[in-house]
Amino acid sequence: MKTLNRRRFLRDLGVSAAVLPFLSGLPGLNSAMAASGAGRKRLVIMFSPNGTIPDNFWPEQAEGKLNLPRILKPLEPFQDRLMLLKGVSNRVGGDGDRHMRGMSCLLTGTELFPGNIQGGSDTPAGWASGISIDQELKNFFQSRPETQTRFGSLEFGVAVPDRADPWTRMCYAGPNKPVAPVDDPHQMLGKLYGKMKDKDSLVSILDGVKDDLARVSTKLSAEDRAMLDEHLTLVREMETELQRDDSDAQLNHPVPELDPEIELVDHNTPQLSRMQIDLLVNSFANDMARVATLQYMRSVGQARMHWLGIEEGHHGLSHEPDKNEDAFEKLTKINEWFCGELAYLTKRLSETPEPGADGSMLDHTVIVWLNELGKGNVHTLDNLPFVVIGGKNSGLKTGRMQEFDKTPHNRLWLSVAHAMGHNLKTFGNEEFCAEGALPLA
Amino acid sequence: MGGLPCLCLAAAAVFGFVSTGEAVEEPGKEHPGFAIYQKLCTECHGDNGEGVAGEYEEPLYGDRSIASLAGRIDRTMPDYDESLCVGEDAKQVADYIYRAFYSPEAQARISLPPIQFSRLTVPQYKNSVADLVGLFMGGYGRPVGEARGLKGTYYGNYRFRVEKKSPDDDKKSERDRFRKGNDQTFERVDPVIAFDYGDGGPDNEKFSKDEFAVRWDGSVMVEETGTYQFVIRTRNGARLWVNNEQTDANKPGQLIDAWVAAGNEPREEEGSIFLLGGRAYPLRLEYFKYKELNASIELLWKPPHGILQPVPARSLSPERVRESMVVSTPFPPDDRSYGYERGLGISKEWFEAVTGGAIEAATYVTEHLNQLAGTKDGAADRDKEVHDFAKRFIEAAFRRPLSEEQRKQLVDHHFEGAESLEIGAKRAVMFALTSPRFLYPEAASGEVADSYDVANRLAMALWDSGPDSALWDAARKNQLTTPDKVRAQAQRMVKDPRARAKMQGFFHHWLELDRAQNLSKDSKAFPAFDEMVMADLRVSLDLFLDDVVWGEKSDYRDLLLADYLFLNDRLAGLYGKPDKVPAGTFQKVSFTNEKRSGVVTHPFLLSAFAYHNNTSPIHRGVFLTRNIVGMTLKPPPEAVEFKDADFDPSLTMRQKVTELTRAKACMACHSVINPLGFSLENFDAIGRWRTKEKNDKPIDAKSTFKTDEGTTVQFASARDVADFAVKSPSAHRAFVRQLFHHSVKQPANAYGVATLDQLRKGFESSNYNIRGLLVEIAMVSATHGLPEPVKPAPKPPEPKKPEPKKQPEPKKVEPQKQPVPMPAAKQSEPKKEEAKPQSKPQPEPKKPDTPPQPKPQPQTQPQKPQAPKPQPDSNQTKATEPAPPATVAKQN
Repeated sequence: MKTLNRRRFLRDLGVSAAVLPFLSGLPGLNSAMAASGAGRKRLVIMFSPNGTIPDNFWPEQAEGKLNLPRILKPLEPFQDRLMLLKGVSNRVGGDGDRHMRGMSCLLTGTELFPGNIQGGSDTPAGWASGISIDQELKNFFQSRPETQTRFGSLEFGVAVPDRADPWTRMCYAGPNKPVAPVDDPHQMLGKLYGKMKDKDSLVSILDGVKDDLARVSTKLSAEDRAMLDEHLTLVREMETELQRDDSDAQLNHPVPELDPEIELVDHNTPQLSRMQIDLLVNSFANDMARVATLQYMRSVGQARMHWLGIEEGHHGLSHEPDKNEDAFEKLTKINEWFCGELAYLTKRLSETPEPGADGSMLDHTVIVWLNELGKGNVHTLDNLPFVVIGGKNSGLKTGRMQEFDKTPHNRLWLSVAHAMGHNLKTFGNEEFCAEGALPLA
Repeated sequence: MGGLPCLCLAAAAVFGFVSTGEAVEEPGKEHPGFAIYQKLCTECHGDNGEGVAGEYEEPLYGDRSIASLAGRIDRTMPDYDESLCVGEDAKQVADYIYRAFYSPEAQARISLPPIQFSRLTVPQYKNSVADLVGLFMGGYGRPVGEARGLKGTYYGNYRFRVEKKSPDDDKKSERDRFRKGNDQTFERVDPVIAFDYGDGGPDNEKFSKDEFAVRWDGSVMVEETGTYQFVIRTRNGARLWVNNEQTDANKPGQLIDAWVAAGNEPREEEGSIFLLGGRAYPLRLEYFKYKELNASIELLWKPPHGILQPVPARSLSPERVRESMVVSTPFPPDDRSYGYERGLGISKEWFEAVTGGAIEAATYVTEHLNQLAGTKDGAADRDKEVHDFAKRFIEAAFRRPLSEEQRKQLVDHHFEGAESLEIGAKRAVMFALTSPRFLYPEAASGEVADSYDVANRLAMALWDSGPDSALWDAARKNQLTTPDKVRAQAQRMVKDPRARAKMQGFFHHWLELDRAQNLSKDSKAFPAFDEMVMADLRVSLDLFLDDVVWGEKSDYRDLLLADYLFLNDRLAGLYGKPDKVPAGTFQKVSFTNEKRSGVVTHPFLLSAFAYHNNTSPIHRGVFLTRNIVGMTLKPPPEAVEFKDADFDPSLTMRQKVTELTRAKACMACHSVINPLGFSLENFDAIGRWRTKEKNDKPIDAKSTFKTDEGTTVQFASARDVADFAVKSPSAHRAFVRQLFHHSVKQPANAYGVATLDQLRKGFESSNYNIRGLLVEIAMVSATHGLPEPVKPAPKPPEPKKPEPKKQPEPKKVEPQKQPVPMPAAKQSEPKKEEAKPQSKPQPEPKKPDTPPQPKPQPQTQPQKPQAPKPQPDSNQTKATEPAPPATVAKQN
């Protein structure tokens, strides 16, 4: 398969969306980019499931330089951008087992509807009854012309199973409105950059169509031929549009090249993860969205991470008691791997210059990494492993760990909203917001 | 509707419609009428009746008889002194102009309209694409049986599992143990999906109240093309697939996903899908309850022109059909300036839609490539199979086989530059669907018609689509060369739901249902006339049309004379037949006392042709004049609005209209329109029977009608009008002409001056069989230009004069003379045994792997579809089995 190179892409961009409405999906060019990039704010929320290994996650002391334990080691290069929040809890109660609430209340901070989906314990439940913070911020950005982007938010997934239930959805456009992540990079590429392959194909057939029109025309009367002549003109016009090398159309960043050989199967997860991260960074660089979520697997996910030498399913492992050293080690490795992906994302953002402004894209970005459980084998919603990475311009005071005590995570979402310029007073269940935003600045 | 203008027609612009069928010879200058015409008429009408700017601009042609013309000239011409041309002079002038240019025959002689080179209309395009892809799917288009409703499979657990009790049950969790009888299942057919189980379930004996599930399977059959909104109303979990065979719940493709409940309150989830009329689509609904208090499930829809209501049993079948590739890309509307939709004129919007549709279809094909090409991933010959599929697809799109040279030129090319087999196939499909040979159905034909042309034209005329596999078979065997064989195909095809859909489109056009689009009535005067009644009335009309057209007799006269309506309980209450119909169904109800008379008095039309608070004899009269009685009216030069408030409230509507149109200039037309309209005055603005107006004045529906021939007819009721029309050749001719145009989308005269009259005579002698008429119309189109001309009339008519068909310089550019029958791998095929081309190149008989022959489905049987087979015998025996279009799928 040919890859998309920059020149080819620019050529393809010569087709205006108005000319080819059916080939829609071209990025909004330059509109926002032309404006200064200073003051731009972005949010990425990255999810990994089934709890962490607290012993290998939390540094021993909060004071001074953080001594990062094994799981967080990959983030060492960004240590000064890092803020760990210990003692934050998902306090949302109500229907649903703790995996369900862990997942579907994580970004919504509000209860699940009573419903018909039975978990491993507790009562059956339905979808979350409120909007998630990423969608809330998307709506906020999209409501203001200066922060509007083509998509507002993009929901990336990695190895998310094809099923829709409260364990697989964390983003909600509103009550009862789960948003499905896209876990196929090719599908995401199509969403971001339109059906470029179709354009290639279209170009390839137009000669044949022209020839055929000519052949058919010779059999017709002059009168009948007029219609085909008109038709031919339209084909030629389209061809010109398709092939016009419109050098005015400049993307800040070329379309990433995706390896077509990578299938959507478990053992390709590491490659798929990197493809998704590259697409995420690319979509930010071309300012298609200001909010992104990156969801690895799902709550209760049974991913078998062969690439780490682990044959057991992740969720099964997470139930093993602490004294099972083998499981303990494997779960540590699993979480290390997730952290490595976060580090890669951070690195890519830090290496990419912010369009229209000084510094890197990381400077304008806040990343939150989270998990639906504090610890897998006890299914606790307390002490969730929250990692915040705040760019230089985020206004967050990073390079430290803050300790709280069963503080509702709704307050964290207030802080994140404030960091994005959205002055929310409450989010999710108001009961948990009484004390206001967490002091992250 | 208060603002609708009264149609007031200028005297001289009215031409009645009487057909004679007599031979019309061109009059010379020696004709006595010529001199009079030159002297008195050319100043305003021009030398050849073409009209004169600033004087009388309308060309003089129409359908009046000579006697009728003479009467008119006598009374009204010339306009500055009617006495200058009367009596014998008037007759001579009438005779002259009739023969020189006025009559249809003269017009045809002067300028026979050509069969215009046309593109596919939008319905033809969308149907063709769907059926084209369907040719490669086994079982596609197989008709569904008589049974109605959906097949329900009921499970005693929410997982749709048939579970057996086992000794391990004790180890099961609490949750599993409490299930009662969770290994039970049963099946039944449910006519309508609308269940409220309360706190119980579908079977409280067999199932626990806490947990059960149902899967409803079958097909949904739609008549009209358009967007269908489906709605699930439930307190629990449900999901719906429509026109999607992929029913893995964990994959995308559900039209509605309402699987996760939110509380136990009823909620509605909806999804919309664009569907083509005249087809069935697979439908599956899954539903479950788990530990919730109450349970309920309803499947509703809002069809085009309809209202939200439970999907009725008559639209559901418990048999599953194959899915259809429906192009949903929006298209600009077709040209309707001729009074019917034609594939004339192209625009950028059209071209872009065609391109978008091609991409849409090609994407679908790529996604289903293994299935359509009859191969699978990793198969050793996948490459070859896909190439072969591409060739057959292009052949099917072009509606004729490709020669070896064409195959190289038009097929292989797409794979050469492609990055993958899929992209190659995609390009081939995109090419096929953007090529002029697909988009212009006659583009691939030579100047002499062959079996492929006949197959293509039959499919276009009867289905607005391309040939099905049975037609392909017949064409490949070159069997469509004699009228009998062609007619046999047409008679088979007319039974297909696609023909029904096309026929329904005709009736909607004929009855001007567009007019009912924004129907609304004064809610004070007609409080019961709500949107549900309007939707019911539309259904009632469609059921009536179906009943007549597809009933045993298919008699046109029943359309106008039937004394019954289809009513449901709601309509029965409103139209004076309370308690006649049980709830939930439509039934025939007779109206002998009220003189109901077919479509003439169908309440939907009576309502559409009326004001929002009163009747409108003018609208009704114009409709009857033009569409039922078959006389042409030209538009009025000025619009005069009917303003009820201008009249004395003690007058009847009839008196008001009489008053409004009593000027002499008006009466020339309104003497026709008004009597017809007045005959319907016994029906109020929503089509209910009445004997008095609102002001208690009695209704007078009697009138006197003057025919073109000057005879007088007394009408006492709507039925009298219908009786008159049923016996009127001009009414028949108008009906034939309109059906011809709708079906063939070319002017009937283009097929010969006598075409319409021959069809009309055949229609009359067939006891006005509508289906038969459609078949004969399709015959005219299909056999046009066949080496041996075929006559439309069932009785052998006189030999037709050779048609002055426009023949551009005939050129054979296509290298299709010597089709090389097969790719190298299939050389073992017997070849060249059948008749070689005679005078004109006849494509050779095809082997069984040509387009209409879908490969066996890989999932059914991993057979080797490749082996070249000699076709003849096995084919023929199979072809005689039931379900002809489907059998080919099963051959190998």
